[in-house]
Amino acid sequence: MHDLLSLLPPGTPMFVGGLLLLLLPRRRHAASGVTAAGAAAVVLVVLDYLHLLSLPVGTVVTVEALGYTLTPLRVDRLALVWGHVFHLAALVAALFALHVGDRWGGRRQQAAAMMYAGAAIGAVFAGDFATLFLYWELTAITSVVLIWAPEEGNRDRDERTCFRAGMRYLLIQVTSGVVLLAGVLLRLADAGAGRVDAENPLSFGALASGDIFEASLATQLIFWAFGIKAAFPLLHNWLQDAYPKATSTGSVFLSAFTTKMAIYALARAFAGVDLLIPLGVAMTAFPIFYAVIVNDLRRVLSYSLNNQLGFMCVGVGIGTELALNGAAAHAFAHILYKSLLFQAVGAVIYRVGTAKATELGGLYRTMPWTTAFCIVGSVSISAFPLTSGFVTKSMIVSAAAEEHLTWVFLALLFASAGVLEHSGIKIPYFAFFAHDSGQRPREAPWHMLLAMGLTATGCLALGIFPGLVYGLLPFEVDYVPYTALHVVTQLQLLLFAAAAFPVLLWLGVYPAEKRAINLDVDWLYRRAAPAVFARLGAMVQAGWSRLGDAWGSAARRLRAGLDASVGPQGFFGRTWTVGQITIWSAVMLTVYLVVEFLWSLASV
Amino acid sequence: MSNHPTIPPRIARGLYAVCAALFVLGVVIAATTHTFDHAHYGFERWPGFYGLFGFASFVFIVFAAKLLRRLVMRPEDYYGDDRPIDGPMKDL
Repeated sequence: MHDLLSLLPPGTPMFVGGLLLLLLPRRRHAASGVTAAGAAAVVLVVLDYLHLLSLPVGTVVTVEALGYTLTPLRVDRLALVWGHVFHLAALVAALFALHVGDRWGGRRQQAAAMMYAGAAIGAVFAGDFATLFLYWELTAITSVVLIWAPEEGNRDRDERTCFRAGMRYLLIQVTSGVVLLAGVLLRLADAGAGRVDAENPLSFGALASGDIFEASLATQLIFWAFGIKAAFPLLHNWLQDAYPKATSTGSVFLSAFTTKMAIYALARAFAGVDLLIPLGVAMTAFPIFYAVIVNDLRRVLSYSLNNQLGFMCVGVGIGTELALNGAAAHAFAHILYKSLLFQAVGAVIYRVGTAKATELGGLYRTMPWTTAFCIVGSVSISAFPLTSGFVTKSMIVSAAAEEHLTWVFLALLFASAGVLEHSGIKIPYFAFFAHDSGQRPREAPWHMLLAMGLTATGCLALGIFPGLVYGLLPFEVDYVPYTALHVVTQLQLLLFAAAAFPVLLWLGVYPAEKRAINLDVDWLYRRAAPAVFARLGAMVQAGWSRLGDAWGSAARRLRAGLDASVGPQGFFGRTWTVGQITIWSAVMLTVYLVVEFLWSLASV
Repeated sequence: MSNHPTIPPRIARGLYAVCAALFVLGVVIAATTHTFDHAHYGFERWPGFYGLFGFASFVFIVFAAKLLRRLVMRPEDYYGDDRPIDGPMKDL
């Protein structure tokens, strides 16, 4: 029995168990507010995690199928970093969502969340591209339920906008899977032609480093498939479009898995690909400008998430041991504090019904614990000393400096000031302080506080005891985060930047929150492309009808002509006498004879 | 709806005081210890480099974002998502 269990990929208990949640009664315990599906979800995550912990490092399970060697399970140090943190993220998210599941939509949401997290965990432990593809698509189709699920009292969502946003999300996510599949199939074809230098072409391992454009088309397709889910610049907008449309508990799940699964895939297959450095720098820099002006705080967090992914991409692109350790450590830390921030904003939505900055403010009076936890998340993402962001992000920045990538180094410092602006200050300030919105909601329910408290503890524990995460990393760590130089310079960077905030407020130049949306790349496929297609369609239609008109009038003219000549009243339709026919026959014969005669003269 | 919230002056003053202290601390550490010798770049050793870089970045980001807003801000119903949709999946 034990042996059989050790063949089971982690994530499977959550995935299969998630389906079974649909069979549970839609019951809620009145005193605690806990639903049957919610409690079962927590149990599932714990069971799944215990299963992972029972698997020894180095476990590899292979299966021969259709002439290929599949590896549905591979446990190594890189996968384990994500394995641990995905389970922690699923656990706190499930605790946060304990109240969901007393209605059909809620129970469906619990099931989808477990299947989604389970699929993401399965992807991390997949050892071949076929298995990866399977989980890659499963995360897409399970997670969209979190965007479509109904939620009472959330005024930021409505059925139709969520349906459309979910459809766009699904389309882009599935496209990523299709591109991945195309890449993998091409790779198999290359292998058949002897062009792949690998024992098992399906093996999910390093594919390229250096210049990605020199790699095979198959490799490039796989790279861009990962890039879609990692929210590369211009491929990013599904994230900011869909995550704010999820339910308040759903976005806590969404924030953790899809994008970090993609970062894991990049770290596994594309460590040291140079292009990841400029792409990552662009990802750290551009979203921060949007984050300043966006009104929906969950969308601010989505832009912020994109910026954090940039740091990880830079780490993967630099590709040194320190940089890869940094990317993995930063993914670990980031998943926790980003989950915490989405939880805090989710709790606000649960109590107030909106995450729009224009309608919030002053909530610290009645939601002090949520405020405190949100601030812990904010200082962690801003990378203040004694928080998780400080000990992880600095590894990537230091790796850039060690490789003498001066512009990258400065860009990451700049982006760090940007993180402080939107996640460090804007989120807690506009939600809980700023002007008093007059709302006095109750504090978040106990299980949300428990989830936020655990996550906040994790953020601080990693910052105070960095060994907790350093000990998990794929390579030996000899990095020391706490030096006088590092602490003082980081505090200077962050606090001087923070000092600009009251100055700008006082001068009245800080952009006021406005009830509005901001165009991003999604404009291209939500407005420009439909408009172009509509215009093209109209042109084709107009051309077609003009062609039809022309054809019709030509046909009418032909018919009129025929009528005039061979119709009943036409020239040829008349009754002719025998004499007339004889004369005309003689004329035609004469003409023929003359032509024939002239022809014979000419050919002599 | 727009608003111009502020920060309580007490907190702002405290923040400036901490910044000043950090600036001095950086100069003192650089003068009395060798820890800044480990910096990767010469400019890192300039007094208050990180602080000024952070302050300037923050101000730049805010002003650039204000410009960006002029370009990209649209009314909330710009995409017309509130139009009813037809089709069998209406109930989702």
